[in-house]
Amino acid sequence: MTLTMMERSGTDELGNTVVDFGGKYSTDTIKEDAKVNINDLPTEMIIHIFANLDPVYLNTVRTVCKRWNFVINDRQTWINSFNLKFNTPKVFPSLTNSANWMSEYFTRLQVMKNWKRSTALHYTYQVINNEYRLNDTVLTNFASNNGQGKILVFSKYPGNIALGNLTNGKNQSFIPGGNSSFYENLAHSLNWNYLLLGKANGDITLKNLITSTSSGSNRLSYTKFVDSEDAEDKSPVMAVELNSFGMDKYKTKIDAISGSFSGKLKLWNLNGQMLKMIKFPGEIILGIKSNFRKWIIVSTDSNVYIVDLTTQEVAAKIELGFTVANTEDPSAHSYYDSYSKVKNSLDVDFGDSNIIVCYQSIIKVFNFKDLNNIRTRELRLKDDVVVEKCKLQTMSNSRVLGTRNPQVIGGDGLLFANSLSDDTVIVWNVRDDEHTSTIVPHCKISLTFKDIKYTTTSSLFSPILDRNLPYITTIALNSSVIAIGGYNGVSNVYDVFTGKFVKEIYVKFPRKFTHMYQELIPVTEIRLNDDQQETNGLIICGDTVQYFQFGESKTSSVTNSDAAKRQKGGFGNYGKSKTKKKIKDGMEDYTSQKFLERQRQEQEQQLLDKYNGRDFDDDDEELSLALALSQSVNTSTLKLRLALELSKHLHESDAQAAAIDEEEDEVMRKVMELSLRDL
Amino acid sequence: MSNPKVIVISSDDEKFPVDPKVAEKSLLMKNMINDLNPDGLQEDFEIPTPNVRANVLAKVLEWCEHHKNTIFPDDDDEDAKKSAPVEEWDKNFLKVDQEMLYEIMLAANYLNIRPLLDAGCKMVAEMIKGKSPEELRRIFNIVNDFSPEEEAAIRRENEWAEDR
Repeated sequence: MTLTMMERSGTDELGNTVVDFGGKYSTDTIKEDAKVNINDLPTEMIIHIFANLDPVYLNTVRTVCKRWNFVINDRQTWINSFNLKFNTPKVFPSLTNSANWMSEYFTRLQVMKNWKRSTALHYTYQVINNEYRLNDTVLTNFASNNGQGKILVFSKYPGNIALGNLTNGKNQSFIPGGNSSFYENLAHSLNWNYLLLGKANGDITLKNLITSTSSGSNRLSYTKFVDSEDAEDKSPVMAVELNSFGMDKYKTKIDAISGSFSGKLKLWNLNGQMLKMIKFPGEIILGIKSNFRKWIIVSTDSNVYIVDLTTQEVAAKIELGFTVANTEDPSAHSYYDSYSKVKNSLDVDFGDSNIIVCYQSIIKVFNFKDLNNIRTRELRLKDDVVVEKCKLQTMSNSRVLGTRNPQVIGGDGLLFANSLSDDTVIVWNVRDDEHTSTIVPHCKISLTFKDIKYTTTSSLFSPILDRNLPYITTIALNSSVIAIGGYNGVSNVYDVFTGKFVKEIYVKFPRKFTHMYQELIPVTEIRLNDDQQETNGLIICGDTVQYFQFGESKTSSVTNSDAAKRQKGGFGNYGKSKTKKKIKDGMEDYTSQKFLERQRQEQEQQLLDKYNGRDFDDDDEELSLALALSQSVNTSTLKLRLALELSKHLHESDAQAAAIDEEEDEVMRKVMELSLRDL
Repeated sequence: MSNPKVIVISSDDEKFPVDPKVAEKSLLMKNMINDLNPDGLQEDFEIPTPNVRANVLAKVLEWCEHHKNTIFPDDDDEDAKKSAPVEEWDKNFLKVDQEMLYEIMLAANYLNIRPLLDAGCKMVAEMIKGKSPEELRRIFNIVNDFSPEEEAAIRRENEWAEDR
């Protein structure tokens, strides 16, 4: 009943060509030709095989032959493949900090899968003694404390500190600030051991958090910094910076920096001795950042200064191009404090010498790798849109201090995000190799009211619309996702490269947190684990904290009580079994990338179906079937091209060509194109 | 009267009559059967596989026959399948010469029989595991097409990666 291809093809002229194709791929040829070699397998199958191997061992496998090396580490192939799969730009941050593309690829698949997977864990707790529900600075350490992690919440106005376990809020302790006035603390900087405060009356104090007690007695744990040259300097302290990267235990080196309203920059040791003073007359110091290794970046109301920490001299001056304006009444109590709301943001990427400044509708990056030729990149927002929040991607201390290594996958990029007043978020790369003068965001996420609202309707949220409040209250990002916070815990995660919604990362607060059901409380902070391969974090909403974790954590004791089993992901030092597992997972996803392949197969199948059904409409369809078949048997490109030409020729010469259905033509063209592309 | 069969035809025109249940281990064949027989199989149904030769097809269908009642985890159910080692029967089944193994894998890929393809890839990975590049070239009959300089360059890169 069914004719084979051979029999069928004898019937017309074009069919003969097909017979040739079929004949070429007969068992005879296989027997005659060289044996089927592993390298005759298609690339995706080779990858599938390698996916079962240890990524570290793949480095050995690379040296076997060019094809294998190509599959494992061809840079351009992988860049394209990453772009196709993850939408990553040319420069992007790595998850593995390795130079192995395959390992990065499967790690990324696994991390995204963890974000998407449904097995989630949430813990909600309340921070004690935080009646104002303020938190100006939150410190988090996800890995310490036997996997319980540590959290520290500081509130500037009362000066209070709460400390506890990060995952569940247990073992909380409280250090009261004992402030007499709301606007007393102008500037603060803290690490796990110390709190440095800059005050409105010119005082600078250092508090030892280890010896501090909840009794409020400050005597033993309190150091007042004294300017030996000018003990009467009462200029308000607008900015302070404390070394968070390992302080000098002998307390003699520079570990603290302060900047005042009168433009005095002072460098201190932990004994409270001033080691150096640099004056910026007529300018107000509003921000200080330092890695306490080489550079101090000082932002005033109109300039940025780069101070060399070793020589303690100004190495470069950069004009901001704007002057920070404060419309507050200078006689008001809150005058100095109000600068914290109007000043430009200051972030520094020390690893690649980039200073990021955001002010109103301007975003600027200054690259000071060459101090004599500081390059500027800029983005000016249109239509009165202003920057609301600025966030450098979450990263570990070692990465903050390390130098950029272009050999790392993705060129060791670094992401930055801004939320804007039009309820959008933009993500862009700080480390740019193109030497352009503009900042081009690779991803833009626009939010609607629906995105920040609990799925069940509640009148609680109506003030957002009534009072025209911003939909976005906070952002946080790492190398794979960006978290966007709204109100009362509502927080979503989006893919940091595609901007696509990934999932909600919060759950409704338990009923006992009654205030969450009575008032509108913005999400004040979202923290992601600084280990880029982890998929956990914190949502801080006033005084209430929610821990979230998707999939299993490497470090958290919540799912893995045996701390000894922990595998820490250091620099290029990924746990072998872990990564192997990831790779296996990854393969499942790899197939989805083969959409094209599948599409081709479907088309082929469709035509095969028709062939078996014997319902040809005309010769052209028969031709397209023949081509699909021939293509499926790996015919040479040349032959296909020939066939394509022939078919074109036929169409031209055939008087009936005009009557041929356009759609059919399209199908055939596609089949041919696809097969050409694949070969 | 016996139930209708699916007749799979190899590239060299050999006919393999099998139970529809066996043929349906191949997603390609399953879709074909279902799409063209919306009312169920009434009579024998031929499926040509123009790029699978007879002895390979025989092996593939033997695998399908053995696994006709096996329920493989869905593609979505990653946890179940990812770390599963190759089943003992599959292992023995795939103990064939390399050439045959590759042809089985190619056929599994074409016919869309994922568990067979997975098993094949795992088998090849087992063969690669722990070998030196020289051994791999010998086992897989691969010519080292790197120039000494190129090879040295890759080694240097690797050292860098290991140092980190």
